[in-house]
Amino acid sequence: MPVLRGVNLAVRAGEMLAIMGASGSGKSTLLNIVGCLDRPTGGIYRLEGVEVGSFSGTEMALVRNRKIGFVFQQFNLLARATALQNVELPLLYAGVPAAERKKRAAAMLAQVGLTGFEKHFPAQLSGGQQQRVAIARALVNRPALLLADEPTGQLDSRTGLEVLAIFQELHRETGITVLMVTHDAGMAHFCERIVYLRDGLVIGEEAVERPRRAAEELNGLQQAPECPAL
Amino acid sequence: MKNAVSVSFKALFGEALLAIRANKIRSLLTVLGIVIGVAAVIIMIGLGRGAATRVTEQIQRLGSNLLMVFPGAAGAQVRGAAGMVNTLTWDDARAIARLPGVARVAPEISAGATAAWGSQTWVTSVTGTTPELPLIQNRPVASGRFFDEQDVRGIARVAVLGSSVVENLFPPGVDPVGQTIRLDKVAFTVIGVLSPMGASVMGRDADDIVYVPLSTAQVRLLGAGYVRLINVQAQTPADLERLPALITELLRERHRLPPHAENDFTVRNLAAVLEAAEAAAGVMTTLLAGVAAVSLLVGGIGIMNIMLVSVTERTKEIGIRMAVGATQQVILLQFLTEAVVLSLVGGVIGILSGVLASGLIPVLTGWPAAISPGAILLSVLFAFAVGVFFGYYPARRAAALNPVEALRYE
Repeated sequence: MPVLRGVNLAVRAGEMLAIMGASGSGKSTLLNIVGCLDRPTGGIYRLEGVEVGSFSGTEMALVRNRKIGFVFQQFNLLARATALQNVELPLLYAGVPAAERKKRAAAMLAQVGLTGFEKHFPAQLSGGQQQRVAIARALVNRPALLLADEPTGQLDSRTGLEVLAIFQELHRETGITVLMVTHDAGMAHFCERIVYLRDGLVIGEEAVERPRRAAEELNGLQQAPECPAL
Repeated sequence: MKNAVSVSFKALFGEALLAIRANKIRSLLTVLGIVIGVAAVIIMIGLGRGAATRVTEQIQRLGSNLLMVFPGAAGAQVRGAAGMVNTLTWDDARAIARLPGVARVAPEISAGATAAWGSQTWVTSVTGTTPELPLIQNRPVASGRFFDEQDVRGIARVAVLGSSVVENLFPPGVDPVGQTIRLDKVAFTVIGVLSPMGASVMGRDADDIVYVPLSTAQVRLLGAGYVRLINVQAQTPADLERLPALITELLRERHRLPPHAENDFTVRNLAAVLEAAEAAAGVMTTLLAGVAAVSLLVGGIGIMNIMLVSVTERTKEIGIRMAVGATQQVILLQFLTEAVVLSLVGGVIGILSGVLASGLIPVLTGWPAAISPGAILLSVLFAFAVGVFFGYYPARRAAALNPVEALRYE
């Protein structure tokens, strides 16, 4: 039984888009196809105007390496590797020499606010920190497209906001295309456009007039008193 | 977009080390099979080489360009085995000495005898021969002298002792030269002691021997006119090749053998016999090394087993690596590198233990063991091959994983 049954979706370069749907709606499958992890059994997927269906496995891997960054709900860091080694991984597969790899990975970790955590293993980091390592890894090869699958699903609301603040800042500053899959309407409203998916069909679409601003909400949280006054 | 695998070997190697170090105990146990296999190969080849070297030394000790003529037909069981028939005479030896290409001839006759000095007795072997024997065997006297032509002509009752006889007959501090001993109750004057030879060719103690002039042995001790063995030294290796036919022709004529009769003597190139033994030792070495190689194979299967477990365990990791851009080729190479690094590490440890053992075995057991660079090279190559061969299938499995399913694996 096909998971996706008629998704006609165009994502513009530089867009920040949320795909919303309950579990089983096919949103993860859609993300896997967009991310070149999986091939559609039918239909056409074009990435930057090129049809991906004809790509070999190696070409798909190269697309994942150069053009796409993944952020997963489960972080998906290598447990045996340090934060720096995790971030280095895409560069390793891009054939970047060791010295440059380390430099770029360290710079990327600094960008997500993890200077000083280079030698830490994932188990030694909080969930938010792990997700930031994962974001650094997704972005270290300067992809054009960032794919996030429930990126805040494992995080408390504050850390979730921090992660979204990073996404929004990146999006604003580098113009990277962000495609986020979520079942949480609140999270979806951080994006400029929301596509609703149910049972493998696009059932609706919404342009968000004023997307939520994660950085501002975070500031609001910080100004709130630590404990409510009695 | 480039299509080639662009990951450097250095990077692959680094990732392999990371994975190996993440599971130290398991890696160590995995490697143990290879360690034992490689060490066994090196030790076995070392022992074989050592044995071959020893045989070569024995050949050299025997004397170079040496032929031996025994009485009796080779393998003639009915008329008595070779050496048991009295068909060779001193005159045969003299005739052989006149053949072209013959350097020296030394006939021998020997028998067991009891040597006595005072009340001390020792059962040994008495050999009657001619003064050429020590020259042929390249065996100098340690003190005194060997008997000469005059002693032989005069049927002199003089004896030259091997070092074992000296040890067993005389107390320390007594100079045997000049002493009188009795051989089967016949008195002999000791005129010389041979330098020790060490263990000898056929496992006999070559130093447990008393040499007397051939004439004396025939007349005084054995009362026989025949000889048991004629040592013939050829002048050159080419002569050595040619002489057996010449000697055969000569002896057949001297023994008046009709054309169809079998030889009543046997000409043997003992070096050739030892070379055959050496070849047999070589076969043995190959067999032992083959058995050792089987343990390398078992070690390789161990690596394959662990790599398969590892691929299953690390399915998620493989998925992550694929998601960030590892191609199937790279995943394949990565796991293959891991297997090869494992087997090479095992190989290196195995070489070290093998070399160490090859050094210790001669000290502990007295067996010679040679450390051969060839064996080391062979086992490194073999370990590498084992890594590639047994690592390939698990690596293929890893590379063939579907990235989506691998990522979903918990």
